[in-house]
Amino acid sequence: MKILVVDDSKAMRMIVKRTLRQAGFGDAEVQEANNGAEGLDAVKASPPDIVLCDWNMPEMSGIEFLKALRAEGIDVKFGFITSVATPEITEEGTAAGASFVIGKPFSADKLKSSIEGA
Amino acid sequence: MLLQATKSFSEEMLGLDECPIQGSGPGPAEPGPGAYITLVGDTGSVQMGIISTQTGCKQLAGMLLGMEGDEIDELGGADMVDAYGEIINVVAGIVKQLVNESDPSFHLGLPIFINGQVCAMEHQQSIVTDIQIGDVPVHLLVLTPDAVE
Repeated sequence: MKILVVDDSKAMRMIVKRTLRQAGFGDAEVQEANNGAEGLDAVKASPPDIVLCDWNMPEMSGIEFLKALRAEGIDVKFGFITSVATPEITEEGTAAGASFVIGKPFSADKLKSSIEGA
Repeated sequence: MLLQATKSFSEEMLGLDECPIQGSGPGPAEPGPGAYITLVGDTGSVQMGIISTQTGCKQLAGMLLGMEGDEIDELGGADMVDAYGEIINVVAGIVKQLVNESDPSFHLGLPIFINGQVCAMEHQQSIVTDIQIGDVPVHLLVLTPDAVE
């Protein structure tokens, strides 16, 4: 399995990768990107099985990234991991094509069930 | 609410059951390094900060990253600032979720890291709550507009 983790915080990317290992995805190939623009390039260069993406990021936000993907007809599975997982954000994210919106802090069990259900 | 969110963060991301309160009162907080974030809504704005010492910030950042002992000592400045900033980001996200039902207009800014003392300006008030996260002493700072008279 190939997973792209997009977050402007290196620390949060490390935490997501550690939680992925705890969730049983230790064998997954994990790529990283700093923001939506880098994520878009990464998806085009080598499409992952799923994108795990922050919402608030400079340059290109998570929702802008998702909309850019869908506008280009790229139907990769997509989930948000964000500190602002309110009902409004969840509705906006899923309406744009995200499979799930997870709030921080999050558990390995939550991440596992979300990815498996995507 | 910042205290409640910090306790929730400490429990879920650091595995710490309790954050004992050492004291609380009007600010400013002791000078020191800390991460700050603003919550802005239609009815006003709130600045929140988590302040500690250099060693304390490094300790908390390392704990968040799952580091131990020497790994924490070797945690570099930029990585420490990034991880410590993520702490206030997650804590503020919890605060946002707590206030969302009563006022969904609030939005989070991006975290900043300041090494110094943040003081209330005119028409602002500051409240500081001193707590302990694990072995680390921390000051929680909340800056709000003065109540309208």
